[in-house]
Amino acid sequence: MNPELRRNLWLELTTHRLLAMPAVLLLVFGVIAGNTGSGWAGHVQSTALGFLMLLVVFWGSRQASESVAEEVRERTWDWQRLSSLTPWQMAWGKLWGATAFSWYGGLFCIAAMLATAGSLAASRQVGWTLLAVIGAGLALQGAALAASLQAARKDSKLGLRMGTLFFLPLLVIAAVAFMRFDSQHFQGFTWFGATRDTRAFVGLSAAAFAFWGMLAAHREMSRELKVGRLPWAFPAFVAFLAVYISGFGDFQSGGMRSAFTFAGLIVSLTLTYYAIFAEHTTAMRLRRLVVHARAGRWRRALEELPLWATALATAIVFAIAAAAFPHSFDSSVPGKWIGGYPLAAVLFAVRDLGILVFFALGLRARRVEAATLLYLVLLWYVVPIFLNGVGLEAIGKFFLPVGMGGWAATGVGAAHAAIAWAAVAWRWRKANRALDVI
Amino acid sequence: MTSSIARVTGLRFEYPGVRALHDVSFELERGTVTALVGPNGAGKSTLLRSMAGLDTPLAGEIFINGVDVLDSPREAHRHLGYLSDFFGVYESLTVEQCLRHAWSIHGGDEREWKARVTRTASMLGLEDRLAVVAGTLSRGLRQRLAIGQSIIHSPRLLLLDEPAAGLDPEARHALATLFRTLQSEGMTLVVSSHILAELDEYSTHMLVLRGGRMVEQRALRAAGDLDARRLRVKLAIPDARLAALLEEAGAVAIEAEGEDGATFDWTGAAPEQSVLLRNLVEAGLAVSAFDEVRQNLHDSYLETVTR
Repeated sequence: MNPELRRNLWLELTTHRLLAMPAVLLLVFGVIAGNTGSGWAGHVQSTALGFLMLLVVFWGSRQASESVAEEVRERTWDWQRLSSLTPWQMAWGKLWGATAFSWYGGLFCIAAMLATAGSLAASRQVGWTLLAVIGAGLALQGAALAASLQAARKDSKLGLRMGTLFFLPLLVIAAVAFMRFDSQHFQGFTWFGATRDTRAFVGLSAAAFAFWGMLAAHREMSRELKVGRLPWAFPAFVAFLAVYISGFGDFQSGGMRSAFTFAGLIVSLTLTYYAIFAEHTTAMRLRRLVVHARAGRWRRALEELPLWATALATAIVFAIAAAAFPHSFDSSVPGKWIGGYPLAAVLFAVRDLGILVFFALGLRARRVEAATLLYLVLLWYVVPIFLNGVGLEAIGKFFLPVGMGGWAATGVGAAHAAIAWAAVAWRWRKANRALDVI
Repeated sequence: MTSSIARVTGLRFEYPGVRALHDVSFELERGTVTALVGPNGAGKSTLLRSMAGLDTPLAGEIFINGVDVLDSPREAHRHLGYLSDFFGVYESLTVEQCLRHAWSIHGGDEREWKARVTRTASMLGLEDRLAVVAGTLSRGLRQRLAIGQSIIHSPRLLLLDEPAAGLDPEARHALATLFRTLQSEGMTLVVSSHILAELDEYSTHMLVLRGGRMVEQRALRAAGDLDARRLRVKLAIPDARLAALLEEAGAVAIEAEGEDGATFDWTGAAPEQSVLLRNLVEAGLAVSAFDEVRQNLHDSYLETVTR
């Protein structure tokens, strides 16, 4: 048995818990069945679904997140990192072990749902629902463990909070999808030009996201255990999301190419900003990257690449493609209006990354992400609003270049990026002088 | 197999604006106990954490028993044990569960866990506490449990960062005895501590770090021979036969102080030492003093850092 799984089982599955969980659930299901008359089966099924989501999706995610945070607090994590377990063994030992009690309760809920399904057709529908909940649970548990590992490397919890904010839309989407499950919105919808069964689509989508959640946990565990990995996973996730989202695009006017390009651009930019706050960017890591690159140790240099660098690289590719093949979903809007806006968006992201790296290279770098966030809020919101408020709209456009044309905006973005990275270069040289090197 | 268990080459480590280790290079011989000493901020903990594969240096190489720690940290962990100065134990598990988990995560054969747990617990004096929950143990017993978790897989190299911090004198003595036992079983130890007198009890080598630079690495006494002593004999009347008589008796590394005295290494036990003294007297030498001379770790350290 996986040792980490066994250790968690020792802690999670005590005799008291093993007896209490089914007792409480059976009591609740019994009360529901006894008070709802002839339609009791449906009510029990709905209640079981609610408890399954509560146990597996919400409590399970919390437990997965706590599995590392607790070890850091108890000062056992360094010792665990010294084990001979592979990252995958450690990741799944934690994922299944820390959430064992949640899944144990979930099994009783699943049994109740299947027992009250009735006909074969209804059982099939319950099967899709279960796939959706279990997939969502695994996806969020994997993401929670990955986020927890990222947070363990940080000196502030801002990144964790920001990371959580990025996951909230996913939770809302999942909740809305589930709320529509037992309503009349079951006729299906169009994805890649064909009508899909909603229940099956959500179930399979959740299963796909479960794979990415597991992969995220594995990749972050690899980084924590100092096992080098080439940076293919984040771009692959961007490509997957681009394909997935572009399936909802309008195939009549824009075509798949535009939908894929724009979905890829938006996803890669979103993930770039996610990585800024979720990941811990340190001067040591950036210097290791440069030292390995200068020595021609390319594999090690690539292993040191921050997540935001790989996300930005994919954003650049998508931005070039988007500028080359402009958006034309809406026939009432001339397709060429987009011009250089995709490139401008990427250049502003390059500037924002420059701000992050500038703070990370500080001699007394602390709360790098918080300082970056402050300056992003100033540059994106406070300064433009202030300039517009005092009648300096023309200057305001040099901070938020909206309505001045895509290519002009690209020029402004390039200027911002150049200033930010010139500051980075200055600070890099200053840091080198302080260390008396290179 | 080479005589070196660990080889560190050009190790460079940086924190923001600070270089914590400046191209540190050294080798550790098998079966030695190295006292890692230096002032606060010298880079001792950083060095140990880098050797354990917990932190990644900017440059350099670390090989433990021939395994590259930076390339294959999981493989290297089979060969080393590490105890941090701020360690924790699983408060809710029993001592037996803690030790069994440690055995398993280091790739131990599951069929042997019981024997290994029993052996390790008995080595640490924890055999009657296997069913006790770790959270209820005293500081000294928790320290022993943590060391047990670090050595249960019989690592070739054991790295200990301030292992005696917070322990009472009795527990410190027990710890020193344990380290001697581990060394006698062939384990190589690196012990970082501020308490030089305590390190003096069991260290064979000293590695001095200062400002992130390695100032000195040298032997304090013969490896694998903690009983070796340096003795001095003084004569009231000079006698040219002294050196020859000492050599004949088995003394080594004899340094004559003219004809009226000498210092030498002596590996014999106390009864043999008294026989040596009797023989010298019976040979007609006017022995006026016969005692042990030992430059302790504290003296060695001060001599190094004030040089």
